[in-house]
This record gives sequence, structure tokens and C-alpha cells, in this order.
Amino acid sequence: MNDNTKETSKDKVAEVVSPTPKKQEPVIGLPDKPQHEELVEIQDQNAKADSVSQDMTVFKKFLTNVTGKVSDKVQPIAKRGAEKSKDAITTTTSSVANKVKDKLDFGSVKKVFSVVLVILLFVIVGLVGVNIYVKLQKPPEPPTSVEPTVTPPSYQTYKPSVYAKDPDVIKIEENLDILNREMDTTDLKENNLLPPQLDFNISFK
Amino acid sequence: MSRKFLVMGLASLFLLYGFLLTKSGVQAQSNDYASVYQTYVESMDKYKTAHEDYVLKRAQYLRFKTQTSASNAIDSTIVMLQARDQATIDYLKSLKARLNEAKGIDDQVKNELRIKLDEEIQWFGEHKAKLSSANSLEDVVADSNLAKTEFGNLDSVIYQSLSEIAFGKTVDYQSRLTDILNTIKDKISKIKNEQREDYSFSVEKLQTIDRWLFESENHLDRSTQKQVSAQEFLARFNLAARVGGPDLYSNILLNSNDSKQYIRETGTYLKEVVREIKTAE
Repeated sequence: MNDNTKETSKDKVAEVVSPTPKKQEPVIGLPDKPQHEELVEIQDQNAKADSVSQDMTVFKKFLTNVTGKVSDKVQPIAKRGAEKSKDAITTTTSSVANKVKDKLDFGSVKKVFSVVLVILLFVIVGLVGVNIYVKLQKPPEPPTSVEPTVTPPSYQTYKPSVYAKDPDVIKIEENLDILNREMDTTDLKENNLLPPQLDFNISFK
Repeated sequence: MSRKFLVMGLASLFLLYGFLLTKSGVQAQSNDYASVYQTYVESMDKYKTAHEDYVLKRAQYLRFKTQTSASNAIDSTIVMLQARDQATIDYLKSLKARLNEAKGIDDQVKNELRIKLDEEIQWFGEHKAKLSSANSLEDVVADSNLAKTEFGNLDSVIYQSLSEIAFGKTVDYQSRLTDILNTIKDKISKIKNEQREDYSFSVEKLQTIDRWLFESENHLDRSTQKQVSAQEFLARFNLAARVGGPDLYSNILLNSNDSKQYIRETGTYLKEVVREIKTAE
């Protein structure tokens, strides 16, 4: 009993792994399909495949026939049309060139060109002049100066000594201040007392 | 008793009178230069007006050469020359007044200059008085030339006075600053000898003060050197020989200004010493 069960499991695994379908063996415990039904199914499938391939080949043949005939007929006509269009283009361009040549005189073209150049020149000169005038009208921009940043002095609290209110020290400081102020405001040169400018060149000649 | 009060009252009145006299004397002296200088400015204005008139009359005479134009030219020239003499006199007077109130000048030098200035004032006064007697254009021109020569000789007295005034200022500044320096040194020596804890300074603070004092003395020495140089130029003036002029004055000014600069810096250093004394540690 055990050997039979082992064989059946091995067969199942082989069925799953093998890509080609194997002839199904009757599974123990399941009812068997009749063999003639299977054959009918296979025949039906083969018949369907043959009909599709036949249709495809027929359609292909039809297409090749049609295209061959169309190309045989169209090619000579296309050649003729191309030759005609070439002739038409050459004739039209030559005629247009002749017409333009007739209409345009080269002397007048030169004149028009020179007038346009002069106008352009005037426009450029005018633009430059306006630009200069605008620049002159504008007030000169003040020079951008980067103001130096001031480093704040470190705050030192004044702590007076015992001599801060000493009369001798105060007197010395007063005298120093007076003298320093006097030196700052006094000029050694006596500008008011330089010799006067008098006219000593008296003559009547 | 009443006699005592009378004597005391009289004495106090006498003292008050004396005080008022000296005060007015000082005021007169200080206002002397200002008033004399104002007179000088006014006489310069008069001279300019007279000179404009002289220029006009001279031009008329040179154009017309008539007797009237000559007479007008003589009159206007005499007026102009008198105004010119007066302007010179007032200028010399203001210079003398400025010299009188200037400090730091040796008394002997000051007296010599004052005498010389007085002599010149007298000369121009006499010249001015003589001018009215001129009758011709030639006389007027001759009188003018005399004044021209005399004025040219004034350079030595004028520039020596100006040099002495400038130099005297530096001498005065230095003298006053030296007094202040000595007072500070006395005070510091007292502080150094102080035994009380609150009144004595630390060694570091005293060293800082000493460094400032040392720098102050160095600057005063340099100031003295500049004054010596200025004195060398001053010695080249010779009133009797009428030697000296604007060149010497420029050199003296230069050296005096250098000396003043050193004194000013010394003043700044001494101010630092005072600041150190007044600030607690």
C-alpha cells in the first residue's frame, strides 16, 4: 500500500516539472475520461489552425497581385507627370525672373538703398545724441562711500580716588586746562601787526 | 576811641582808592593795545582814501599839465603823505603797545625796542609836520623819498619786535608748564610718602605716573632745544646796525612753533598724570 502511494506522488511531481504533456495515466480514486472524446478535441483544434493559415496565405497572395498591378500601371504615369512638372517649374521661374528684371531698375535700387542707409545713420546718431543728453541731464551720482563702523569703546566706570577732590590736584588741573586752551587758541604769528602796505613810489613823470 | 576809628576809616579808604587805581591801571594797560590798534585801523582807512584822491589828481596833472592841476596834485599828495606818516606812526604805536603787554621777553630787550620804536615814531611825526611847507611837486617827491628810506630801515625794529613777541609766548608757556610740572612732582612725592592705606598708591600706579612724568620732562627738554635755536636767530638782529628782517622772523617763528608743539604735548601728558591721581585703582 505504501509503495503505491509513493509512486503516484512521484508521477504527480514529474507532471508538474516536465513541460511536455505526458499521456495522462488514470489516477487512482478518480473516474476515467473516455478516449474517443479526447481524439475529437484534438482533431478540432488542428482543423481550426489549418483554416487560419490558409486564409493568411490567400490574403497575402491577393495583396501581392494587387500591388504589382497598381505599380505596373502607375509608374509610367508618374514618370510622365514628373517630367511635365519639371518643365513647368523651369518655365515659370525663368518667366518670373524676366518679369522682375523688367520691372526693377538697378539704379533706383541703389538710390533706395543709399536713402535707407542715410536714414539709419541719422537714427543711430540721434539715439546716441539723446543718450548723451540724458546722461548729461542726470545729476552726478554721489560717490558711494562705505562708512566706517565705529567700535564702541569699552565702558570703564570712573572710580574716583581720595585725591579726586583734593584742592591741590584741582588747582593743578585748572591751570593745565587754562594753559592748554591758551596754547590751542593762540597763534605765535601776529598777523595783525605785519608791516602795512603803503605806497612809497611817488612820482609825477 | 573815636580817633582810632577815624584812622582806621581813613586807612581803609586809602587802601580802597589804591586798589581802584591799580585796577584801572591794569585795565588801561590791557585796553591800551586794543584802542591803539583801533586808531591804527582808522588811520589806514584815511590813508586809503587820501591815496585814491592822490592817484586821481596825479592822473589829471599828467594829462593836462596845467597850473591848477599841478597845485591840486601837490595838495592831494601832501594830504596823502601826511596820512601815510600817520598810519606808520599808529602802526609803530600799536606794535609798541603789543610789546608792552607781551610776556616772556627780557626787560632789557623790551626797553631797547621801545626806545627804538619811540625814535621812529618821533621821526615820522617830525616828517609829517614838515610836509605842509612843500611848495612844488619836486619837494613833495623828495619828502616822500625820505620817508621811503626811513620806512625801509624799520624792518629790523619791526621784525625783531614781532620775533620777541612770538618767542616770548613760548618762554611764557614753558615757564608756566614747568611750574605745573614741579607742583605735580611735589604732590606725587607726598603721595609716595603717604603711610595711610587709603591715601597711598600701588607700585604699578606710581610707575605709570613716573613714566608720564619722564615723557613730560623729555618733551620739555626738546622744547628748550628749539628755544635755543630760536634764540640763535634772535641774536642776529642788530638794532643799531639795522640788521634783520622777515627771513630771520620766519626762522624764529618756525623754531618757536616747534617749541610750542612740544609744550602742548607735555601739557597732554601732565593731564594724564592728573587723571591717574584722581582715579582709584
